[in-house]
Amino acid sequence: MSKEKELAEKLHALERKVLKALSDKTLSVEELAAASGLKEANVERALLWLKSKGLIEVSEKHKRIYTLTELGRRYLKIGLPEERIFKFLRGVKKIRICELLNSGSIEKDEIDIAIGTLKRNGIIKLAENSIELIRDEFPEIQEKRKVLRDISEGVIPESPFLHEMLRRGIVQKVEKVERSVTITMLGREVLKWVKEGKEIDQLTPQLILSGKWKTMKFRKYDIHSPAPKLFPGRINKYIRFINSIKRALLGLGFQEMKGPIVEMNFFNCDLLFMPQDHPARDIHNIFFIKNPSSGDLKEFREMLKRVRKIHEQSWGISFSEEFSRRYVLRSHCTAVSIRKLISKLDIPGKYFTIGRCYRPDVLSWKHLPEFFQLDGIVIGKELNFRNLIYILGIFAELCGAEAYRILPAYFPFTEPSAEVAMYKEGFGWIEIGGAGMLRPEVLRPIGIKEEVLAWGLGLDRMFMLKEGFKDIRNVFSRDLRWLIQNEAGNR
Amino acid sequence: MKLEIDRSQLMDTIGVHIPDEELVKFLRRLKIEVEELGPVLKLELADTNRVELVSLRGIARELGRMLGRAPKKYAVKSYSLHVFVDEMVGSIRPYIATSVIKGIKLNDLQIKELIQVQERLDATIGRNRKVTSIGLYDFSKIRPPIYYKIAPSTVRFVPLGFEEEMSLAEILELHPKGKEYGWILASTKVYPLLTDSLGQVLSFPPIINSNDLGRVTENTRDILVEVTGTSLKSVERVLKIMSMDLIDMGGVCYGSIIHYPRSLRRSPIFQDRKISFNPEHFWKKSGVKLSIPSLRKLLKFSGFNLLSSKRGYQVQIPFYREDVMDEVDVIEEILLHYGYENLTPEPFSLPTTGKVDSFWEFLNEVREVLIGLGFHEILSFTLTNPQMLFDQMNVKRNEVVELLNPITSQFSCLRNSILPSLLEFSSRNKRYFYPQKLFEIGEVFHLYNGEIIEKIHLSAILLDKEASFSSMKSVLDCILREFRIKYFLKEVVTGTFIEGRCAEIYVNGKKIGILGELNPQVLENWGLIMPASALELDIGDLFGSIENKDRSKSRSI
Repeated sequence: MSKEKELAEKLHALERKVLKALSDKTLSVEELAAASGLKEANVERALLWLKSKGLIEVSEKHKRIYTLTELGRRYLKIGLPEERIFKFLRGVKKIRICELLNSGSIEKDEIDIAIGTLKRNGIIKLAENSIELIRDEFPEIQEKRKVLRDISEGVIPESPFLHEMLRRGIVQKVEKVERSVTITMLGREVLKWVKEGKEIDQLTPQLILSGKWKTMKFRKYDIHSPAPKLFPGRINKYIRFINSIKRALLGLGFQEMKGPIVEMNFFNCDLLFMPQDHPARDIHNIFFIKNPSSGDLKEFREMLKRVRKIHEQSWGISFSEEFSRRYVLRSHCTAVSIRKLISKLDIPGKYFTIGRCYRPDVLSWKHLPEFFQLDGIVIGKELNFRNLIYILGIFAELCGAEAYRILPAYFPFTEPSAEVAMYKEGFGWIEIGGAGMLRPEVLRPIGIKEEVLAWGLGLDRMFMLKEGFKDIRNVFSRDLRWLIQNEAGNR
Repeated sequence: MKLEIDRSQLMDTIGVHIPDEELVKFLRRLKIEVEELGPVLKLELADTNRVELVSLRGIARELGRMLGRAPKKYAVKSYSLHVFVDEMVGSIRPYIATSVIKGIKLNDLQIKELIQVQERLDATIGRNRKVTSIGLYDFSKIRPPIYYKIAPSTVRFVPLGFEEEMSLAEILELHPKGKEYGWILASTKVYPLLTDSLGQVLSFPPIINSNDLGRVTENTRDILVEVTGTSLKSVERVLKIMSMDLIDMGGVCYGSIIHYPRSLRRSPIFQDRKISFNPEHFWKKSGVKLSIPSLRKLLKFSGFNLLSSKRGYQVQIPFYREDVMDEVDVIEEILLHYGYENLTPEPFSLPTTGKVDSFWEFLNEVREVLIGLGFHEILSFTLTNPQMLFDQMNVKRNEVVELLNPITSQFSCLRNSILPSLLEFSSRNKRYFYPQKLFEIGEVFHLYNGEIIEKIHLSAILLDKEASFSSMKSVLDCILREFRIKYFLKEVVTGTFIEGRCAEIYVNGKKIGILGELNPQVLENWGLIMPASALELDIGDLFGSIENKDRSKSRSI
């Protein structure tokens, strides 16, 4: 089969129509639309395809044309201001300017330019606050009207008034690209093969039902022409990461624990042996709730007493139960761990939670006011600090870290305490969070006698390490493109 | 806390040069992170309970120990200064501790150092002078005993840095320190005052010292150190730290007897404590089997002595290590010197069964349905503002859970619905592709009878040229059909949706959500030009309604 024939068979219906309408002529897009009976947008599409196949040539010519502005179109309808005054004066000969304004034949913002023009042309004489007609003819206005009319009809006028019209914002200059389309040699050859009507474009139920398709030929498609892009629905990247961590922890025998986001100071800090005047607890470091400002601790009265006693003994400051009841947005998920420890729990047991935490940090590439933490506890009789290091190693593995290390750290509720950092080639070290063994001052008032390993890790940072991005804001990405890109390749 | 320490001054104080690598390692054992290793060391002190380390000499002391230096002995020559505390200060600022350091000769650098330590202690353990504040005086100008009492606001003296007398009220109003620290005394009408037996004003704690007595210069030989505050423990601790630094600078310490209305106390007391220590506890807790001599050696690096007696072991703790409360603190101290880098992970087996709540499974199934319908899941902040929740959604403002201390108006409350989050997301992605199908599952917060209720919602939105009420109704129907949930719709009017194209969703007679075609006014508010329909469901409630039934039987196939 000849190349031309193959090309012809694969032409889209639009291309066929346009090519036939064009034939040997040279036409503009508008003319092609008229000749083919297609919408201009469809002609454009067909031209794009035809051009890429080398069947047509499109030449562009830049043309400068003039068009009327909105003001110009209005003047064309009601007359130029000087024309309107002239007509009015022909009836009354002389009029005071304020009366002229009241007559309605002229607007306030037009009057200066109209009077100026009339005076320059020697039509009127200006006396104190009034004008008088001194010439009965106004040939210039005829010329100006012609300019307006010409432009509205697309004719380029050659008039000395054109410049004035431009200056007065009645006429504007526009650059226009005019495209003319001609067929190429190849196009002509292909056109010879174009047959109309015998080919099936879209197979329809009717065609199948009637059996008509048996006598018809299918138009061949260009299998290389671009198809519309589709985007599959996606689980959020971060949610998927969270789910993968949850599944892994399930497999390791962890139970999920839950707790409220709006939490009382008692759970967020007091039970964790954080002194009430600790800077981490002031309004610069924890969000407080306006209303209701406090909750109820009646259920925990006895425990509150014990907590109060140990705080006052150890920190030497008076303990406020009122402050203990204050509502805050939990600043760490350790609040959830401690809630678990004071409720029914299995011993030995492994628990984890993943949840939102809040701190008054300004949103930046390094900090979020709202973030996720992965917290957990392991409780049992024979647990040691090196077991904790082992657990941290599991988390390092879960987020694809190649190495991790612990460094000395301080938290009021753990001893010994450690800070955890993880490493990945090409990413470097990143601090992930804290860990330690709960202090006797935490465990005694809640009646726990076993050892408790605890940790609070920045899940966002673990995700950053896994995905390899450094801007923490991506965790809550609002860029649809980023969220759906390259998913399969990233897993 | 961030500290800046002059490196050469630190090395001079220790008396030996420590190479970089070792310095970083040693400081880490003090839980101090080196942020910059230049001529000025930029340090971050993590342990808020080791306040003695805010002083260069405190750090030098510990580094010296780690280098094997013998610890310096701190002693009080005699307790000779009497301080009388008026009962009336009890309600304002009840505690005071003082010492006199004699025979000192300070240079300019040391005076600066003292002021720095004073400021750091005021800021940290002193909680910006509320809990403790420090005053230093030229003792030669003072006629003991000293009186700590209350005074009316009309009492006048010349405050530090001024030349004229001012009343206490004027100081609070006009003096820079009065403006800075006046809040501490905001709730009282009488003020604490420190005077000597001649009635000379030493200071107006915790605001400002006297210009005549409360100034320490290179010519001062005997210094009175005074700490007042609201916590006895902290007041006495701060006095110890200040006194130790002055002893290190060459002074001899004399103590005081504080006459409280009903008791006497001496200050400062430099007496080491002993706490019992069981090496087995160390082995068990750390997982590291160290011999007794090794334990003893490592404890020495902190200046702790391991003592053995018939009843077992005890550890003697230097008096200034008040952060050490229990045996666990001793255990950590040993591990710090052993080196965290030498600790290896120890696998353990603890047979437990993994359990995750069935709600999570349910949510994942809901996700699966929505993904199948081509929806993208997004994740947004729960922090937002009333403008987004109400104004932009074309509804009247209503009660939400507001923050008392927001840092920006952008995040001033918690969301009560997810739909605004979806619209905001879409308004940031309008140049991308349509149809746009988005959903989010997450927390929302409601106020009900003055109580905060946390809920899990699902919201989905469809933005498309052909989006309509029915296109979203199909989605709702699809989700609920998946879980064999029967529902009915009830027409409702709200500004968010087009009237007549909005419905409340009921399951088992309970309202669980809303569905509708978005009011073009809402779309305009978000700068969107694409028609949209949306739904929002209380997915937690929905789950509750199917959990009540036998779920395994109610699953569709």
